[in-house]
Amino acid sequence: MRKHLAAIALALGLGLGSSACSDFLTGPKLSDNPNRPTVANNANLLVSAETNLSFQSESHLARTICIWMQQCAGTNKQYLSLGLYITGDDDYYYDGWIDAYTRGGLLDLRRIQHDALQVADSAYAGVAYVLEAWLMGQTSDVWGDIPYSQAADSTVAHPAPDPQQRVYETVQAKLDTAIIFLNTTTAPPGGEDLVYEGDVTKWAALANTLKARFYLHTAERDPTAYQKAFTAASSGITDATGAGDYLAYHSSAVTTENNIWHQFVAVSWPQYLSAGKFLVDTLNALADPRISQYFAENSDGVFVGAAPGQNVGVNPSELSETRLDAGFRQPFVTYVENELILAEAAFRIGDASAGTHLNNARTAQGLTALVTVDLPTIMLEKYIALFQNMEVWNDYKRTCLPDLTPATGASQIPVRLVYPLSERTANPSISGAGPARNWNDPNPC
Amino acid sequence: MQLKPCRILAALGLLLLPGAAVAQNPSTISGTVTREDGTPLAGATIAIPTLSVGATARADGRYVLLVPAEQVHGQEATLSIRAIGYKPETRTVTISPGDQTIDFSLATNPLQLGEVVVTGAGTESEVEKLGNVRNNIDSSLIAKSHETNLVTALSAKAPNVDVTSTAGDPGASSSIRIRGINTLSGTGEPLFVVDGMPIDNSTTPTSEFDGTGFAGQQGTSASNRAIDINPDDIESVEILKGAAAGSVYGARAGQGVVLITTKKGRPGSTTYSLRSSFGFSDVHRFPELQRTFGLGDEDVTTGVPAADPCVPSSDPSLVDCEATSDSWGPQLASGVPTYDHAREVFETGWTSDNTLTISGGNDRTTFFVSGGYLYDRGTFTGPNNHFQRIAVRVNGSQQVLPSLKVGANVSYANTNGSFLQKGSNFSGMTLGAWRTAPEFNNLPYLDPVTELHRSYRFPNPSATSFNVGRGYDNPFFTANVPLSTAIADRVFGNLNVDWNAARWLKFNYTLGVDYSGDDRLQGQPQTSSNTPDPLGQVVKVNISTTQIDHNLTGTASYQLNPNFAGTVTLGQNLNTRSLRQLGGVGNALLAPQPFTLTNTASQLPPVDNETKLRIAGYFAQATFDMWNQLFLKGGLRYDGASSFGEDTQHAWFPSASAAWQFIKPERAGSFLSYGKLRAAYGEVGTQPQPYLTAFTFLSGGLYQDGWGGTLTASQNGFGGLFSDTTKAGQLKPERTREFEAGIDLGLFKDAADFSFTWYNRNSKDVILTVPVAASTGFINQAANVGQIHNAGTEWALNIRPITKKDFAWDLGFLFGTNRSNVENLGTTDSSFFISYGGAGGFAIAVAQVGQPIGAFRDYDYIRCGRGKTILDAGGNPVNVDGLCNATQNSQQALFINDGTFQNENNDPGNTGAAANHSSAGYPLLDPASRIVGDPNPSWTASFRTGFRYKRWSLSALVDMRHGGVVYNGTRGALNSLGTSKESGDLRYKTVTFGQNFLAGPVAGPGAGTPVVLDQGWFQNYYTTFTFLGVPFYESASFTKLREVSIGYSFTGGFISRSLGFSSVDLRAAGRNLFVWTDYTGVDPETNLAGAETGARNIDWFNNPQNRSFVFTVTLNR
Repeated sequence: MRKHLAAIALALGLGLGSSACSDFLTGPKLSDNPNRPTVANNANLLVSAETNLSFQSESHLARTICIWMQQCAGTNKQYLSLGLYITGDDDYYYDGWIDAYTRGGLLDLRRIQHDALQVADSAYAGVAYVLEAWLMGQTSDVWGDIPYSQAADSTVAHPAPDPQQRVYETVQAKLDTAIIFLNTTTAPPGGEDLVYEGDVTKWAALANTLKARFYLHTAERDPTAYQKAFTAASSGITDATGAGDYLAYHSSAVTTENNIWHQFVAVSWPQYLSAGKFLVDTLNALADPRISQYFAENSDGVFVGAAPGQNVGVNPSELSETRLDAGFRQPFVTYVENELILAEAAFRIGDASAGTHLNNARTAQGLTALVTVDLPTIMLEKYIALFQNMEVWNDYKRTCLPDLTPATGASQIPVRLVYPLSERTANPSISGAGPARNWNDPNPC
Repeated sequence: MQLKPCRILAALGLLLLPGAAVAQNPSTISGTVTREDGTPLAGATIAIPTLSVGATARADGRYVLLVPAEQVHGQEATLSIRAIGYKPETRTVTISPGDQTIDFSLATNPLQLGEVVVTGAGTESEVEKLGNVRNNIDSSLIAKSHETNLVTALSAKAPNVDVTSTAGDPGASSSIRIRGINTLSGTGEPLFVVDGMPIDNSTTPTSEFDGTGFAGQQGTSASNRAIDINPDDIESVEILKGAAAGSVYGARAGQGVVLITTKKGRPGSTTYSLRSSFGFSDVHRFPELQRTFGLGDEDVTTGVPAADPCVPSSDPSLVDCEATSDSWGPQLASGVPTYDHAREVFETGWTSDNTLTISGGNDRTTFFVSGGYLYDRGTFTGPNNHFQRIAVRVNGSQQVLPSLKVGANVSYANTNGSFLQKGSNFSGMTLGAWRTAPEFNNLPYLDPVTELHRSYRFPNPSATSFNVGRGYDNPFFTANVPLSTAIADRVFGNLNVDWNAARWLKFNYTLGVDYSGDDRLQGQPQTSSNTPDPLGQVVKVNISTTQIDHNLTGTASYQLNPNFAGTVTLGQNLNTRSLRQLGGVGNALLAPQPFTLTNTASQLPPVDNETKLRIAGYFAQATFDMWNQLFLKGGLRYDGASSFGEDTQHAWFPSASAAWQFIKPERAGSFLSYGKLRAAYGEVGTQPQPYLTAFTFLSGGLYQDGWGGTLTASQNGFGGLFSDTTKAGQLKPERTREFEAGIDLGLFKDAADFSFTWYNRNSKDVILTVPVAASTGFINQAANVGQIHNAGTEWALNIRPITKKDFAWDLGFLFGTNRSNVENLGTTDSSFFISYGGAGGFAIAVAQVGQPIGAFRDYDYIRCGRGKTILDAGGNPVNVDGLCNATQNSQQALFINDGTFQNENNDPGNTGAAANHSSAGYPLLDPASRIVGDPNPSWTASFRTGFRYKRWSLSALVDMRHGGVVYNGTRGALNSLGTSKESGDLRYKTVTFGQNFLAGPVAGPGAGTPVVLDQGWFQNYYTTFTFLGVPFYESASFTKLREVSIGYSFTGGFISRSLGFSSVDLRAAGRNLFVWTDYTGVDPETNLAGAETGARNIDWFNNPQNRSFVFTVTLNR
């Protein structure tokens, strides 16, 4: 018997030994992640890239700007404090900053460009160039000097910020290249281009409007910016029907495709965000019909806005059902904005077309023409027309229009966000919270 | 080059030679084993090791040892007897044909010297030869705890074995940390091994799958999987704390090892034991709430508090009225009824626990069978707050040959828990209850007319309001309607073989399997307020885990001469673990019921995740015993793991220990009866999570801000992928190197014993998901960069002043200290930190260089001496320290504004529109976070005592934790809501900072200015809803009367004559009867995120702990 046992032990030992000592530790599901793809095509990446841009443009960052610009008001808990400019030092890391670089940000946009250029697919490359310029320009609007030329580069662990001036220059150059790429006959993207569905003409017009928008952002530093903006916007979105507008893609059918404003106000955080007193009072004074497009009557049947930090002694209106509809597609870059850029730029350079452009914008919104054509009128019209749009903050920082009163006790409305703590701690090339003001905004209001 | 000790082992088998057969008559040795008091002692093992024969004493103490005829040569041999708890003895006998009788009377062995303990992976050792501290918990201590969760039962049983039960919910998880925390990427939980088979003790909250990314802070409690073990089945628990003890488990022992031995059958007549217990439990600590002020807000224009338009809630014309969340309204008129929202959702729970065990066997075969049924009805009202466990175990063994014993264990458990929503969650039980305005009656929770959910913020629902969130859910609705269940089937067991191949060579083989299938449902109805859609949500996930473990150990013993002996062990371990998670999340219920994915309008991308991990380990261990007083041991384990990087697929883990028994029991003096010095060094590892080294794209990715808004990467039917936010890297195991040294003493002829241990452990190559600059395109990268240091001491003193037959008294003291320090995080920046866990926006636990692990980082007011810059009236930067004097700077005095300064984020101080007075006299918020507290206790201690008088027994256990802080976020939140007692007592009161409010040193131009604490102050500057945290950190010290019990045992007489029982034991016990603490919240022993994260001591509307009274009857036959 013992002989048998010895033989069994030998067999057991050898069997286990030989099986154990070869491929036990490597192979499918051990070395490779069975849950995730390792390749992505440009169509997959483009869907994410457009969604990412959309997300940065209408989540917490956009709500913050809406509150600070007094179009909206924070009326409960954390949002009440937000109206008093109380923010933590890492609040905008996930809500704005990382969108520039990750999850369909700069890294994936460059991947699309690389793959498209490999096969001379200039339509795809052009679209990705526009998205990159827009995303990085918009990020620089908020934080000023941002990592760009060294960003999303696998050889640079700690990307240093580019001066904001340089960022805007790069943005313009990217858009110029994009416009050339988009003048193409290669097969355009299909439905994975959620907004324009592969219409390269619309993309090219968008690129021109964006050029004009970003030229305006340098106007406090560059005397020729208004002329440049006028020229670019002249080739911008010219379809007065709005068919060329870039609207966020949303659908009411699927919860995770719903308008983010809807998700915030109607679903997650009711009573946190209401109508802003300044905008409501302005619209009431002007008897402007947009008041009922933007806001809902309160329980007393009137439109009322809350002042910054005010949540009592007031019964504020909510955003309108239209704006809070699950499928509402938030306008990001529009014919109306393009015309108002032209109006402001024309006014600044002394071009006689300022009034025409102002009223083109009015007409497109179904409004009566205005007679007075001056800067406050143009900027107020833009402030109203671009409700919920982050661009309002840039206009305010440049023109100090409309003349908003900061929250009680504060000397000014915030003009930039501090670099998020998470980026600062991980990236020694960014030291500290950053300057008090961005390069493009030297003059306080 | 790969070692193949498996082959070496097999080759050893060839050395076995069959013995020469000589015909003779057999020799029979029999006798009786008794205790010193003469009562029979069952279970003692009697053996002649040199002849490989052995027997076990039966219930009547009788044993019979049969020496086969071919081994009977008239030679002398050593007969040894061992019994757990008794001193082993040896006799020299002459092995001659025929019968002989040898009786034994065994002395108790409080120090357990000479007893054999399992030391893991098939190895064992005698107690006195251990070079490391031993912590053993026997079945009686586990039984006395009356805990349903084995991990909770380990509470206060060994120094530096720190158990935190996360909530009082039936089935809620408990976390266990041994000698601090040595890792950052996992939970810091040790490896659990049952009868040689590693088992799963993970905790997975269902909310992990809900798509919000707030797992742990919301959702429901979840069980840790060790709850599948019936504590009644446990014979003993050995805790391998240190690296030297754990290194036989190599890359899996980084956080310590808990070795569990289950009960086995014994030869003799079959015994039956039925243990039935019934207990009541309740919650006995509550937050303090105000009941003076009603729903509404303070009106700044008139300065008069205004009632909310939704008041009175009983007004039927206020249909679909949405009330404020705040109780900042007017003082309630006398006669207006108010409700006790702190207590109203609790009632008395009960627990019924019945276990039947049957065990027995004969000389060759033993068996143990148990079946247990536990039902635990929790302390929340409603039908959905319970946990039940059906557990069946079969342990059997068969002596196939004199040298070969085969055993098998199988355990099956079905657990079925129903849990309530908790934590940071608009549907949370206590959140809904404690925020309710005092004059609002939460009952009935359904509107009498529409039968729809009503809450204080939505008191009069109309029939069409089913798609409107209720602000916060009515707690009675939460208790009754949402349904969250976890139904798990668990099977684990193993086959084990002990083969004494030769007198000097034995093999131990274990092949084990552990499977669990866990079916989860989290159903939140239409009108739930916390779901991403006002129409509710269904989360359904099936989680299955499988572990297969093969462990082969061969041990050869050698004796060079009478003074030098030892063993050599070689072993092989192969382990595979797989995890499968499959399920989905559906939003917007079509019809109110049922909670199925098909009854939802839209679904998130499915949950589809699998992981697989393998380890191939080889180990060698050698012991060398010199003059039977110096015991040396050396070990080496070589582990390969599938989740190590390709270039670093293997790692070595050495260990060495020495024990010097400087006073042997046989040379006991009257003062010192035993003495041992010991020292040990070892290295252990922590295996990385799988797939951290592969670059991937994320499918089913989500875009989420911190506010719940969600877009999927795929839109309009077009699939979206984005690069994973995690960058790939190379990984090797985390490595902990530890040196420990100590002394064990027996005093006064074993009437007392004392043990002291000092340890120093350095963990390096700790894997961090290191935040990388997001501007690189990635957010995180796993890397071996961390270094953590833990050092501490452990003290144990047991005293047995009286050990008479009829009267015994014993006392035990345990004391442990541990200091942790994060020494390196891969950067020279000492302010660099990584979020280690915690709860999103509040109370972030971090690892930061120079700080204890898990330290809290949070926000404070601006104080002197911190180098802060603020802005003066003209917007010019001013250094705060320059506005304070040297003393104030050194005291970090609170800087009081005179109304002219702002902080650098333009926060204007308390001059918001809600304030109707000057801002002078208030502090400013500091928008830079800093380390504000350490959740780790500075020391822990416990005191245990037991009396036995004849058949009466009495015992008590007191548990103390001293030092550390707990985050009372609940209080901070209720301040904003205006329901906290603080916000009731202090509202509109005129106070002066530093004097009668926030006592402490103050500085600055506004110091001493009286101010009014109005709603604006509470809601913006004295709440956790802004980023502020510091005022809400409180001392976490507590003393708890954990266990107290009294028992009586009936034996003989009527019991045995008429009922046929050998004994009937009655016991009454209390659990957590008293808590002494300065903490103003419910219980400082709490954790929002549960056992699944590293963070601890975070209180945010957690479900409270219980106390209970348990009555037990045990029938033994």
